[in-house]
Amino acid sequence: MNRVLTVIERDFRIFFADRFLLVIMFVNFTIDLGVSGLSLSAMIKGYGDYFLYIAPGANLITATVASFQSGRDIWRERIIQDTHTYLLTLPVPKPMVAASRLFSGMLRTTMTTLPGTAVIALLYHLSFPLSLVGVLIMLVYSGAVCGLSVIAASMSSSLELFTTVRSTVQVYLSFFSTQFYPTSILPPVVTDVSNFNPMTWAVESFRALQTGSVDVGLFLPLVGLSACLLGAGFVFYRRAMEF
Amino acid sequence: MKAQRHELSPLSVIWLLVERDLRTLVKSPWILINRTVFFVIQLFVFAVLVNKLVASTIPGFNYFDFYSVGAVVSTITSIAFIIGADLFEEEEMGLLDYLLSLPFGHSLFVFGRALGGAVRGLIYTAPMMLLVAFIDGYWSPAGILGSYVVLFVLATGISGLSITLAMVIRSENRFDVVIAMAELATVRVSAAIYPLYYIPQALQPIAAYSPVTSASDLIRWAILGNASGVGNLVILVLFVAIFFGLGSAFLFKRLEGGRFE
Repeated sequence: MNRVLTVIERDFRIFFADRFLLVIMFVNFTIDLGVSGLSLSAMIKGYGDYFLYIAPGANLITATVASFQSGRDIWRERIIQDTHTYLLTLPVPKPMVAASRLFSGMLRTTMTTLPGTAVIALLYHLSFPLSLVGVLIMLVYSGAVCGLSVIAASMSSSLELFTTVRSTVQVYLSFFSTQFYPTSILPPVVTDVSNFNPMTWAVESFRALQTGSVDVGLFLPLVGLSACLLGAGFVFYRRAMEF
Repeated sequence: MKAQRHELSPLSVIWLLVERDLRTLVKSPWILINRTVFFVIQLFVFAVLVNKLVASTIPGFNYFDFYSVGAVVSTITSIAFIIGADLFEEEEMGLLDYLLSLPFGHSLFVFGRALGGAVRGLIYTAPMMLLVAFIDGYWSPAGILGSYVVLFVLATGISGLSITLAMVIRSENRFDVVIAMAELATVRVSAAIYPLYYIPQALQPIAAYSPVTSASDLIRWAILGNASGVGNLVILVLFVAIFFGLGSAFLFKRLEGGRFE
């Protein structure tokens, strides 16, 4: 257990070494919500309060950016810093390293997006227990993106490829989900694709909290997708550890 | 025997720098593919679907047409920002020191790199602009050429801004996030993707003087026949001049020395 905590602590130290990054991520969230959210909601009426509709999406996008930092750290260790091989000689079993790093990525993201989650909870007038469910949704969603980011980091040999995968994933998560538009107006193909998108289930789960209860039917697919992507991330990271 | 000294003219130096940046972009096919796919998805998924949502609120307003121009402007902004990342990578690899030791002035170097960033952005977005003109039913060669000029001027200014950021920031992680934020702020706090009228009132004065707004409005004037004024042209040129002059002068102090974290 101590070794797991050591791996997580190391990742936290790396992540929080530059607090400026955390501020920038919150600024990004503010721009997404306070500029794009308000501007689009001023243009779109007749679908309820569109601002509240897209608000959780802004926080989930910030979570996506924060989660990809996990992959970036791993990529830097492999390709730039060349510390990957040294780290693997330390007395921590490889599967434990892989699992701990994925978990630390989830925790880091959840912590980074806490202010955003609190803002959305306030906008939605959520009770404290439901706000905690909101935090849980962010944790589970970040698991899916951490899995994707670690897959990208394990397969990319150049920064160009890694950043390309990152932006492609971001486009997929944002535009092929119900972050901006309701399912009722989606073309059938996009509907099908959006069903395999963790953003869809995360954003819908968050929206459902407005009703004052947790919609398990929306939350379970998110858990399932995240588990699959985390599993894939684990497998790819383990493969990258072999020489 | 007297050694012969070959001095390149400023124009030749600029051409060499621009050519080098073009080669760098061609060697990065993933970036090109990614930006193209992103543009197509923005246009044919996001804009089409949001247009459906907007249509019921603002009758007669075609958000798809409006957004199509904004998508080109935001894409060239995004491409122009890449030049800073290139410079940052060169600095990190120690290549920049070599480049700065070449026999031409630093002002020429910055000017050439900013132009390189602008030219490659323009080459890249030229087909997108044509596609948008076709979709919006616009075929005047003069208007399309005018739009290219506007895009070029905008890209030059954004390249200058990006180069400045690349020189000021010393940490790779920080640079990556700051450049993403700068890109987000310049595009979102502008009339590229939504009309100025719908932007929160407190931000409207900032968005009104954004070069991205000016470029978008000028192109919409050319292609969609929307209202625009000479003020937009002035803002655009001023943006380039300010970022180019002040930014470059500032970064010269930081170019040499210092080290990466």
